Formats: sequence, C-alpha cells, structure tokens
Amino acid sequence: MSPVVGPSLLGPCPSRMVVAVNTGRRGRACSARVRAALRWQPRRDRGLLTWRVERAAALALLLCGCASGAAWADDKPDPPAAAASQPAPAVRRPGVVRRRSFEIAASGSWVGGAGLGAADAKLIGNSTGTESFTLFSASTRLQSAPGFGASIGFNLTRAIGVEGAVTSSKPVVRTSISGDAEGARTLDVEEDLRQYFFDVSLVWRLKQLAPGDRGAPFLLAGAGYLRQLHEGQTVIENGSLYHLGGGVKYLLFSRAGRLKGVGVRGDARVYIAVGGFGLEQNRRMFGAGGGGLFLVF
Amino acid sequence: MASASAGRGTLKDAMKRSRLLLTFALALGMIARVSAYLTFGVQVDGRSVTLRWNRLPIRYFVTDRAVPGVSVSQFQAAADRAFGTWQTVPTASVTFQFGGVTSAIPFVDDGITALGFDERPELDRVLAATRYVIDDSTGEIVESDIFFNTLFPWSVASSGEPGRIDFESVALHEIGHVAGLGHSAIGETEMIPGGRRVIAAGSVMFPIAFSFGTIAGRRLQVDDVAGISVLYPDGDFEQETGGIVGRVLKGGRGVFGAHVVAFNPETGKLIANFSLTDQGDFTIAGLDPGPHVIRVEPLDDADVDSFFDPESKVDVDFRATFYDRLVVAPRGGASASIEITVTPK
Repeated sequence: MSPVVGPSLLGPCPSRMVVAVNTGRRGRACSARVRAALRWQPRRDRGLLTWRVERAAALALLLCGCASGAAWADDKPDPPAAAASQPAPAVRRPGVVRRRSFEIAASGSWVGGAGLGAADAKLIGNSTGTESFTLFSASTRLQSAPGFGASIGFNLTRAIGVEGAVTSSKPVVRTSISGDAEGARTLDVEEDLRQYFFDVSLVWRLKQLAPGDRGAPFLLAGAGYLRQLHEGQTVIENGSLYHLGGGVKYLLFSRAGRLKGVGVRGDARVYIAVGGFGLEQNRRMFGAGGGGLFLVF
Repeated sequence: MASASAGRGTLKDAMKRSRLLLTFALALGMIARVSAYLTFGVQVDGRSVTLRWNRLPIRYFVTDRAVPGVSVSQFQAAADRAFGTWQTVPTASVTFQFGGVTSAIPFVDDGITALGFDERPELDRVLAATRYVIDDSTGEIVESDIFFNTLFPWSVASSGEPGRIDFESVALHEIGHVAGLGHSAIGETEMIPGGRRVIAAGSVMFPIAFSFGTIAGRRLQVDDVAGISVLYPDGDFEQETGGIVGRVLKGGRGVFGAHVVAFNPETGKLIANFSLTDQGDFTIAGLDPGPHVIRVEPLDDADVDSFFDPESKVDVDFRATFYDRLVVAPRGGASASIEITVTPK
C-alpha cells in the first residue's frame, strides 16, 4: 500500500510533492521529512483514523475475552486444552445461582390443614353447680387446600439469598357437631376462609450437595404475617407465621440478556402459626409444599 | 300508667303475671341497628317500644321485713351484691343506687322501687316476682318492685345452705327483670311429678331455679351479659359485636317462638333468642365477631307462658336442628339473612 500523507504533515510542501513522492520524482529535502512522518504517524485517509492491521487484531482479541468474562451465559465450554499455553479468556461455568441476581417465581402449592380444637356447648348442671352438662360437642378443623403464590428473591452470594413471598389459599373451616342432648342429627358445618401468608425467608444453597451445575438444593427459614378473612370477608383474623423448609432449584436454560435464565423449583416447609383463627390453642403447626417456575435477572 | 309483672318459679312454673299489658318486642325496626334478646315491649302511639329505664341510676329501696335466716341487713347486703353483679358488666351501662330501708311493701304503686319479703301463700310455685310501672306514653319503666315469697325458706349463707333457697341467686334473676330483661330459654329440664325440674341452665334468666342449697345462680352467664349489654350498651359494645339474623321455616311457613341458639366454636359462648314473627324472623345480637354454629329447638324446656303471652301461637312441634353452615357474625353489623328449615317431630 502506498503511504498517503496529508499536506499538514509536510509543512509547506505543496500537494504536488505528494505526487512526486509516489513517482519518485521530487526534491531531496522534502522527501527526508516525508519519510520520517511516514514512520511514526498514523495514516489518514480522507480525514479518518486507521490502525495497522496487527494492532487492530490484538485489540479485538482483548475485547472478546472481556466480554466472555462479563457474560451471564455460563454454559460456554471450557477453552480447549490446545490453547492452554495462551492466556484463556475468562469463561463463567454454568450454574443455577448467580451472585447479585434477582429471581422472580410463581408457584402452585398445597397448604396443609390443622386441627383447631374442640369446644363443647356447656350448661351449668343443677346437681353439680358447674359446667357439667354438654348440650352438644363441636370439633373444628382447618382443611388443607391448594394455593398459589409468588416470590421475589435476591441472591446475595452464590450460597445465601433472601426471598419475600406471598401465598394465597382458600381452605374450608369445618366444625363437626355431635352428641346433641336432644338428639339433633350430627353433621359437619363449614365456612370458606380466605388465607394469605406474607413472609420473608433466608435461603441457604447447599452447593456441596448440588447434583450438577444446573441443580441446587436449598434450605430456608423465615417469618411472616398471617391474614385470614372469614366468609363474607367481614371478619379478619391476624397472626404470625414461622417456617422452616427446603427444596431444589433446577435451571432449564440460561441466556445472555436481561433475562438470564429460567428454571423450575420445588419446596416443602413446616409452618407454625401463632394467632389467627383458632380455638383452644393459640398456635398450630402445618405443612405446605409446592413448585413452579422461576426467572433469573 | 300501665303495670305488669314477671316472676321466677320453682318446680313447675316460672312466670306469674298480673295485668300484663306487654308485648314481646323484637325491636328490630325500632332503631336501625341489630337488636335482640327477649325483652318486653309496649305499644306507644302504634309502635312497639322496648321496655327499659331511661333514667339511671335505678334507685331501689329495701323493705324492713326479715324472715328466719335472713335479717334486713343481710337482705340488703345480698341484694346489694346482686345489683352489683349486673352493674359490673363491663359492656353494659346500667347502674343502681341504694336508696335506703323503707316500710313500703313491694307491688304497691308508691313511686319507689322496693324489694322485700312478702307472704304469698297462693303462689306456692313462685319464689319471687317482679312488677313494673310503665309510663305508657314513652314506654319507660318508672317503678319496679320485687317480692320474695316468705312461703319458702331462704338463705344468704356464702356457700349456700341445704334445704334453703339461695336468696342472692333469685335476687340476681329478678333484678334482671327489673332492668327490663325477659326470660332466657337456654336450659334443659325434665318432667317430674308436679312439674318440671331443671337439669342444667345456661343463663341466670332461665325461668326455673336451681335446686335448694345451690349457689350456682349467683354468676351471670354469657347470654345474660349479652342481654343486658344489648339493652343498655356501653362504650363500643355495639361496634365491637355483631348479630345473626334469619328465619325459621317449617313446610315453607314461618315458625313463631322457635328458640335459636348461636354457639361460638372458638370461645364456647352460647347466646340465644326466639323467632318473634309469624314469618319466623329471629335476631341474635351481642355476638363476638366470627363464625357460629346455629341450633334451633322448640320451646319445650319450660311452659310456653313463661316466655310469651298465653294467646301467642308458639310452635313446639319440630325437632332440634342445626343450620347446615357456619354463620359469620360481622363486627358492628348483622350477617346476611339465613333460612333454617325444621321438620315436624
């Protein structure tokens, strides 16, 4: 390629000297100055700055390596062994958990039931002077029910995260009546309860037990708020919830972009509810389990 | 002035009335709120007005007559305790004031509310009775007297006395009438020769007393508290409690005089009322917010005229029945109306 030199590098040399350099027919002093400029200055073509090919190629390699290291696509294969002699670009291994990532999940669940105790309709007995006469007996249970929920979590590290969730279900409250003193037939009477759990959990991922790069078992523990609306939604009960449980996440696929991955998760937990609708006991224990999809951002 | 009386019996009959000019008022349409419990009502200008005291405290006097086992001072002390039991209901605003000892005898229109012993041998089934003097232009109680029948042996012993009627228990019941409460039907009885015997009761205002020597009637039950609180609500009682309304039907027709009981499975409380219209309408108020079991039974644990006028067409021909759903009493209001269908015996 013939060097092309703009007039400014040559000082007062007129433009026709360029033609003379190219053809070899020029003055001796001006040609020495031109050779020096050619050796150390970038070359310009029509006002644009152009690098030499070898410099451009080296810079491209550097940029590709940085992009690989910053990418969320962890499923790139390891660099081949033949390239071990050269500095390998940073490549992230595939994994279900990404540090400083958000996760949003939606799930279906099954919320277990709990006994709410028994209360008898008592009258004061004439012979005893105490509540010794039972008009009838009643035993109440909160039935199990399906539910659905959503959660949002933040992975503080690859092992620890926090998660906030809401779960809604519609269990039936069933009171079984028996032993009526006047022989009224026994039966079950019910009402529909609408129940909400609002809780926050600390999640601990057990990486050492991970079956692979895509799956990750976890434990979780947390506390929250219980809200129950009786049938007709005119009476509200409130309480506290404490839970402990665990589950598994599995990343179905990952990708570059804002959405980093999609996976499935399942978990089971034990709840202890304090307060809320209850009879003789103010706290009760029940289980819940479910599964759904999660998205990673 | 109109006058009427209500009393508490012993083995057979509960109520003794004379010149009873009252009609039992539902009071549902009187004020735009849920109201219930069996109360007395009077017709004033064509409308039914619930019988109650409009001016408090209710000032009472004690007759200066003693009987074996009960001196005047003991009578006054026991009556004072019974008045105090009603007055200390935290959700009721009724108050009483002791006015002194008087020579006036009960059941005389003398302008004072007097309690005392009186000899009534003709009322051999009546332990005590209460009589009202009513301003029939307003429906307000202006005087109410109680007599305790000297035909029976009385006791004011703190733990009761075998073979004697506990004075404080009977006084507590009669003072409920003084305040304006009717009878409660929460109780179970059995027929015995000569009348009925109470097996158990869930209210001080049950018309039949416990056996001699028992002091169990000195303590108000939930139904009594609800009744006096509905009649004289205090604080935020009306905003914090709720009611259940509905209708009792048999063969598609309303049942009058059915006893409807609301049972709270969370607290075990029993509060009751009656269906008081020919359409079978009932209202139970003073309930804790939340779900309730509803039970309907015929009025067969005491004579009908212990609760209603003898001319009332009270239906007792049906079986005890539970409503087939839990009913939620809302806070500060009433449930949606329910229909309970009963079947003949």
